[in-house]
Amino acid sequence: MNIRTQFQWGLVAVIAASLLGCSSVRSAQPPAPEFLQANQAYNHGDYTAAVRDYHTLLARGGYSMPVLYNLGNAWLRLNQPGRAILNYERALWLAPGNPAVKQNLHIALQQSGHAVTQTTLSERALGWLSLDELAWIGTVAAVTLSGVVLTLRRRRQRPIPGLRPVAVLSALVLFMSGVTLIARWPELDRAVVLAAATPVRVAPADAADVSFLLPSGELVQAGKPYQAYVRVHAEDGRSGWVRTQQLARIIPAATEH
Amino acid sequence: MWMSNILRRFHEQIGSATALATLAAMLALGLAGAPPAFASGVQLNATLQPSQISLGEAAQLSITLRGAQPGAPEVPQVDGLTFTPIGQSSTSESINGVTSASVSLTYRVTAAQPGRYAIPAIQFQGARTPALSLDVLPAQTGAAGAAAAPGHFLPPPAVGGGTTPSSTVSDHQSAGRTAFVQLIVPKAQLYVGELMPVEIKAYFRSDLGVNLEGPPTLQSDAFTVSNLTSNPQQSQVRIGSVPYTTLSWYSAIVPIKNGDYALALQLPVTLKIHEAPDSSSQMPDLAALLGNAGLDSSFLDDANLQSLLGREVEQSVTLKAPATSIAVLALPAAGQPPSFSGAVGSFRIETRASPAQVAAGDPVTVTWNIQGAGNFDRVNSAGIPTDATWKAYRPQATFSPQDSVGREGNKQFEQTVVPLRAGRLPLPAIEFSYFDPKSGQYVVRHTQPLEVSVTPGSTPVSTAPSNAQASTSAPLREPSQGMQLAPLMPTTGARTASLSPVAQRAWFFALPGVPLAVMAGGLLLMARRERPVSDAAHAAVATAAQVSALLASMDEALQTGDGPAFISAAHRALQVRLGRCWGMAPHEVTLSQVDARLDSSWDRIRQVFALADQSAYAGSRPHISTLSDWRQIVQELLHRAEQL
Repeated sequence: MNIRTQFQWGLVAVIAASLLGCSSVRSAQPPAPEFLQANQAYNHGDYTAAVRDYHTLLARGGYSMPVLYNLGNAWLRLNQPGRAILNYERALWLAPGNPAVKQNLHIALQQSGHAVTQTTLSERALGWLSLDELAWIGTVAAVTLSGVVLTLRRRRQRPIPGLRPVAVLSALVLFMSGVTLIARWPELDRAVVLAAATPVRVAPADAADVSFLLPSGELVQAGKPYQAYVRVHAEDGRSGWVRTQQLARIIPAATEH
Repeated sequence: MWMSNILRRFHEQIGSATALATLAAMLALGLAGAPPAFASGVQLNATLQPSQISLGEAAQLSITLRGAQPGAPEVPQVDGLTFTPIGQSSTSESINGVTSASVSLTYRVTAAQPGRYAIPAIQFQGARTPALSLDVLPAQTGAAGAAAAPGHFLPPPAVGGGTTPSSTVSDHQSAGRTAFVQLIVPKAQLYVGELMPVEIKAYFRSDLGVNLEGPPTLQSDAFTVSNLTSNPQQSQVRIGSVPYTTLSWYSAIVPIKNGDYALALQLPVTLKIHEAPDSSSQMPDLAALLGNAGLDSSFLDDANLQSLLGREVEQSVTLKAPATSIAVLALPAAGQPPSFSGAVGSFRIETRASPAQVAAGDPVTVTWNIQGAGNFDRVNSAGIPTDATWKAYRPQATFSPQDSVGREGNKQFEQTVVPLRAGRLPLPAIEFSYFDPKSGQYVVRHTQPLEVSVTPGSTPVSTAPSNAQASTSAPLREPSQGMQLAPLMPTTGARTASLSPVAQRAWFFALPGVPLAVMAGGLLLMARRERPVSDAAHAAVATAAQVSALLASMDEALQTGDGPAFISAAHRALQVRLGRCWGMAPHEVTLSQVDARLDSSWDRIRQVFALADQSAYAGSRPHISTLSDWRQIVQELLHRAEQL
C-alpha cells in the first residue's frame, strides 16, 4: 500500500467518524408551527403560553439552541431568572460564545442579584469550544497521529518530508484536547437553583437542619442523589443537600428535559 | 565533684559572670534565714478598656493590687452597669532581695442602656484608684465599629454565669495532686445546634516546670468543637495550702445529634519534677568547703539551696478528665417556621435603609443586624426578594464576635436594592426565626417596616403597579446599565436528542482508540521483526527450526536418491548447530575450524565435511546406498553437538 493510498484510507476514516458523530445532530429544518406559535405568544406578551409551547417543541424535536434561548427569554419575562439562567446555560452549551445568549444570560444574572464577573483569558480559552468539538478534534488528531507515525516507521530509510511536524502537531492537539476535556468534565455536573431561598440542609432529610440558603439562579455542582435529595457544592465552597426538584442540571439525563 | 556540678549548672543557667555572685547571695539569704520581705505601702491601679463601647458589647476592668495584705477590694455598685468577674491572677517577684506580690482582678463590664457611666474610685487598705468613665453608644451606631480587627481584645465567654457549672476533676499522681485538668460546662442539657461555651482549666503545682505538648482536646463524635483560644490565661490559686498555677482555655461545643453523650478531655504535657538531694552526705565538696569556712553545714538543708542543688526529672503525661455526660435534645419538629435556618440561641433584629430618598434606578443599601448569643454560623437571612418594585441583589453578611468563642456578637447583613419605579415605596419586612432553648420554642422576628421616597430617575423604569399579577407578567425591567434583552431567534436551528456530550458515550472511545491501538500494534510488530539475532532465546528457536528443516531436506533427498543434496543438507545442518554453539555464523564453520576445536571423537563430522567438499568442488556424487546410514549418524552428531 503506497503513501497515497494510506492517506486516502485515513481521510475516509476521518469522514466516516465525523458523520457517525454528527448523526445525533439533525440538520436545520424550517420552523415548526409550535415554534412560530410560541414566538407569536411571546410577542403578544403571553409568556406563559410561550413557555408551554417551547417546552412542547423541546419534548418533540429535541434540544436546539434557538428554542432554549427563546425559552430563557420567556422565563425571564415571567420573573423566573433561575429557569431563564438554566435555559441560557443550555443554549450556551450548544453554541458556546453566542453573543445574544451571553447578553441575556448577563441580564438574568443581574436580575437575580448575582455578581457578573468578567471571565479570564484562560476561562475564555477553555470555553471556546464545546466538549463535542473538543472530542472530535481529539479523534481526528488521534487518527492522523496513528497514520503518520506508522508511515514514518515503515519508511525510515526514505522519510517523506513534512510528516514529522505533522506527527508532532497531531500529538500536541491530541494532548491539549484531552487535557481540556478532562478539565471541563466537571461542567457536566453543573446545576441551576430554580427556587428562591432554597434551603440547603446538612443531611438528605426534611427534618435535617438548614445549613444555608441559595438564591434562585445560583450555579452549583450537583453530586450523587440520595432519595429525594442531591448533594450540592456552592461556588463559595459550602455544601449540603437540596431537594432534587429545587434545582436542574444543565446537562439533563436522557429522560428529562 | 558536687561543687563543680553546681558551678556548671549555674554557668548553664545564668552565665559565668554572675554565677559566683548569685551563689554568694543565695548563701547569704540561707545564712540569714530571713523571711520574705514585702515592700511597704499599698498600690492600687484600675484600668478600663475600651472606654467606649456599643450597647451589647463589653469592656474589661482590671484592678491591680500590689503590696497589700490578703483580701480583695470591692467593686462599686453603678446603676446600669454589671460587673462580672472573669479571672484573677497573682504574681510575686524578688528584686534585690525585696519580694513583692501583686494580685490582678478582671471584670467584664456590660451596660443595660446607652449613656455615660461614671465608675467611682475603688478603695482598699488606704489606697484608691482614680474614677473611671465608660461611654456606651446605641447598638446600631457601634455595630460597624465593633468588627473584630486582628488582635482586637475579645473577652472570654461567661461560662456558667448565673448557673451552676458542672465540672469534673481528675488527679494525676493522686499522691499530692501534682497536676490535673478540669472541664467546666455551664449546663448538662443542650439542644441540637445549640452553641455552648466551655472552659478547660489545667492545674499545676507551682513548683513544677511544665511544657505543653499540644492543645487540650475534647473527644466526642456527637459534638463539634471550635474556637479554642490559642493562648491560655494564666493565674495563681491556692487549693488548701498548696499553690497552683492554672491555665484556662475557652472553647465552644455544638451538639450535632440528639441523645446522651459523654465529653472527654485530654491535655498532653511534660512535667519537670524537681528532686532534691538526700542530705549533705551527697555533697561532700560543699560540706567540706563550709566546714573550712567555719560555717554550719545545716545550711545545706535550706529549701532554696535544695531546689538549686537537686535535679529535674522530665515526665511526659496526658492529663485526662473523666467524661462529662451531656443530654442532647432534638429540636421540636412542630412549629418550625419555614424561614428557620438552624439558629439556636437568643437574638434580636434591627434594620435601617439609606439613603431614605433616592431616584428610581439608584441603589439603596438595606442593613439589618442580628444580635444576641447563639450559633451565629447558622444565622442566615435570604433578605428582600426581587419583585415588581425592587430589584434585589444578594445580601452580604459580616460577623463581629463579642467574646473569644463567637457565641455573643452581631451579624450584620447588607443588601443592595434598586427601586424600579417612583413613589413612596415600602421595603418588605425581613423575617428571621430561631429556636430559643430557654423557652423551648421557636421565635420569629421581623424587621420594622421602612419606607423609601423614590423620585423619577433618568433611567427609564417601569411604573407598573406591584400587585401579584403584574409581578408575573410585567415587561422585563432593564438593569441600570441599560442593557437590552436580545430579541427572539426566528428559526429553530439544528436539533439534537441529547445535551450529553459525545464523549460520554461508550462507543465514542473506539474512534480514537482503534487507530491508536493499530499504531501501537504496528510499532510492536515492526519491532519484533527487527529484533537482533543476538537475542539468545530467539536465536535458539531459530536454530532448532533451521536444523529441523535441514533434516527434512535430508529425508527428502534419501527418498529421491539425490546423494549431493543429502550430503549438502547434512553439512549445512552441522554448520548451523556448531555455529550456534561457537557463536559464529554457519558459513564460518569450516573443516579447519572443526579440526582446531574438536578432538578425534568427532571424526564423523570431519567425514561429512570432507564428503560435502568433494561433492561441491570435485564433482563426486556419493551413491545414496552408501549414505543411507548417515541419516542416523548425523542426527546423533547434531544431538551430541547440542551439549558443546
